[in-house]
Amino acid sequence: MGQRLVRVVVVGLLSLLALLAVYPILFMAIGSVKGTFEFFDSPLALPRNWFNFENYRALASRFDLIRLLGNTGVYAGVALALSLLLALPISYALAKLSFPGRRILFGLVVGSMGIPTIAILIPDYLFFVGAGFGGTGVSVIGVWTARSLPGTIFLLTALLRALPSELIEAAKLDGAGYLKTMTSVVVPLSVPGLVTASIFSLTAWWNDVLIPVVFLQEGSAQTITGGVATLGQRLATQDFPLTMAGLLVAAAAPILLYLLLQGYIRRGLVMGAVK
Amino acid sequence: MTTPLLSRSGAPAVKSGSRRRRLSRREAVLAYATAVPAVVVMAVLLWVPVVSTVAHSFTKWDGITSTWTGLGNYASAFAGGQLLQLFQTNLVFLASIPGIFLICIITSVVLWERVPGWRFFRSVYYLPTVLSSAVVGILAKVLFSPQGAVNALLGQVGLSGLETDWFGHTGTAWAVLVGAFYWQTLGQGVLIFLAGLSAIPSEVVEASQIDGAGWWRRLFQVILPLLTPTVGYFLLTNVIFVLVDLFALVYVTTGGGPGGSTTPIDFLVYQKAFQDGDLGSASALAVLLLVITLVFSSLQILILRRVGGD
Repeated sequence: MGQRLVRVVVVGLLSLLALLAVYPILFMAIGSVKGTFEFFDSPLALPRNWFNFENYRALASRFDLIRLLGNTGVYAGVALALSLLLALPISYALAKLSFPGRRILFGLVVGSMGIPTIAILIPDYLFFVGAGFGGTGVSVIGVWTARSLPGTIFLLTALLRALPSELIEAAKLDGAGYLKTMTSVVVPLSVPGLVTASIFSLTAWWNDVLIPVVFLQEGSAQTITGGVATLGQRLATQDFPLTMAGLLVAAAAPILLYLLLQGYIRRGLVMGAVK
Repeated sequence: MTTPLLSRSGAPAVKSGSRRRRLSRREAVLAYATAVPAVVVMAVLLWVPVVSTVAHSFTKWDGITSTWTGLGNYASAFAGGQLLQLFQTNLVFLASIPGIFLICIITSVVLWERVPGWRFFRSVYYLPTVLSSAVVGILAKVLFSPQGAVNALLGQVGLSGLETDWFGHTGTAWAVLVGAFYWQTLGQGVLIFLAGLSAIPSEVVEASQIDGAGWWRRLFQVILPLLTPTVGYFLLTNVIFVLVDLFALVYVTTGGGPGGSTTPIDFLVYQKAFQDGDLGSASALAVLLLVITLVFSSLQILILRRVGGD
């Protein structure tokens, strides 16, 4: 009897916590289909019309939404390709090749994981402005790639170390050179690590505010989250429903990525935490 | 994850001396050649900039010319016990970490022990964690605005005395910011603590149950010690987060206000550099932050290494 009561109370409290976790997200979705007047009349009420997409339409015309999304996609895509192409060879060298200075290099990489963005921001900004890339996507791609390299290399090195070297030896005995070994053995076997590293980088970039705000300011080269952040800074009250629509668009990609790739994300996060 | 002893370099140990040396030299050349591109990118965009920030922290700098001022920037940061004030917002967040830690660990242990549907709860709690701080911050701004949902709710349940201008006072502004931080951290905590708990052999817990130890005593004396690495990881990642990653949340939510009182140190560096153009003292503050973070991240790396090997 007492046990059962405890259980009811516990599940009740956990459900309340779950409600707290999702309510703001629901509030955002509900608010995005309300009119301004309706929103202020009763901010807590359900919408009168669930299919009122007026705010989304206004967003697309007033806010250049498609362009911001396109920018973000291009920057993140290029940065991802670059960071994986750069990280995989050095990770393979650190994991499977022996060379003088290997430990020092690995130490440098690991040490770089702890550098806060703010400590490199000013020189990087001056570097890209000096090179003529101020206010362009090139600067964001460059900083994103560089920031993600240490973590990606660390993760891939750890995973490549666990690859059985016999497989690589076998490929070499078959006469496979470096490139062939990489493309036919190493890359296929490190797909899970590459996916995990990619998810981490992509969510970090998609959600980034500091780098886009500093490097792109309010220009048309802005990313979706950078755009939302600048919008939020000057948020006027009458724009609340419109803003909710903007937030939902900005939140959609990470939420989808999470729902589709939950397993990978969990494994990646837990890797550092348990054992 | 340990590497097999023999197979790390390609060559089996029995080859003749000169051949082996030739092979290992070729391997080293290959390693350098394939490592160089990534090293160049990190050198140009991470390592040189860190050195440049440190060097310029001793100067007055406008981006083009810099004049040596020695410890001047640091002296003015430390002057009159200002330093605590500069780090005030970060310290408030730091002080809030034990609270979210307790919420996470208690929720996880309760879920693990008593709730068959714990997977569902884990997924729901994690949803806010995937959102950008910008989205979370603006959401908080709308919910807690004077005409927002929170004040409306307070009015409807007869607590209109508690309605307030949340961002008009430092105390309530901090409360909203910390609330947003808690909201985003619950999912991370529950996720990793549940993973840690599932690695504990069930006999250990059962034995302590037979012992008749009360729930709280078991939590603190049996379960927590077994979770030490996970707890360490959780605390360190969040300590580092509240030191270097508050910019996005504060930028959109309070903008540092009211009156600059909720400005974390990374936001202050941003303001000094990109609004005041005082790159020298911005660099000095960035260096202070760098030093503090490096201490905490080396601790974090010690923990990570147990997983990565080497």
